[in-house]
Amino acid sequence: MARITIDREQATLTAEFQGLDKLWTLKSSLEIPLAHVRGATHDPGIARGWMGLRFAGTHVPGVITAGHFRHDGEHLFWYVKNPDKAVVIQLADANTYDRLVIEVDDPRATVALIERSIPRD
Amino acid sequence: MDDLVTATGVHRGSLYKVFGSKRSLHLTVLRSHLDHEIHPTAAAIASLTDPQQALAAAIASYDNGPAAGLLLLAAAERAPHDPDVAVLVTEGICALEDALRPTHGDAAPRLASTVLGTRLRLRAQPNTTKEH
Repeated sequence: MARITIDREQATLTAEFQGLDKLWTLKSSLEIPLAHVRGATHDPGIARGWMGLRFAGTHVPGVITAGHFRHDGEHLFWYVKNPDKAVVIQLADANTYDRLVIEVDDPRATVALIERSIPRD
Repeated sequence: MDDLVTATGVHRGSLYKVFGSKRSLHLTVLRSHLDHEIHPTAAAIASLTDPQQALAAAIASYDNGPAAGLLLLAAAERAPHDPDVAVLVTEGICALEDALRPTHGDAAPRLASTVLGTRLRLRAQPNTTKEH
């Protein structure tokens, strides 16, 4: 699973992948400006649907979905082995992904951390 | 989120694209409930000159309409954990107090609490109100 941290001084959200997870996702970390983060939601149901077409990464149905996928014209980054712990992070004005779907240790705490860290209108 | 996708018939990706998160959607719906139902209802109550009529109108119509009970639900479930929800709930409750003040003066906050309590009790009677 990924470790998500917020750096308030740099105003960035970072998702770090450890060990073999780097191999499945083809990344060691993702860094997103907080200004590009629109919100976070604990959403176990999203991982039970169609993930989209794999661009790069790993997909073994029912076991792991990791890497860069395309779905309905959107670019998605997936890292989920256990759907019950999937958190959706919606991005805006991002040059890379429209949405991240990432498994974390404590979905409720991660959602609260992100939601209270992002600027609101 | 699964319930929202099923109830609205809107694609999950579209919900995220428009609202950003489930919390943001909830805040948007609560804001809309305040603007389109709570405040107009409060204005109608405030326009009444008879104290009994004003109280009866508040009990009959407050936190009603298409999003019936949303304010009370937000007060009970999310407001204790979410400061943004708490601010909106406070706005809704203050609107009721302000609406009762012209007819009831200093007793308005106490009567507003009575109205909200009565609305809460009505939710336990399925056939008396249209609930969501």
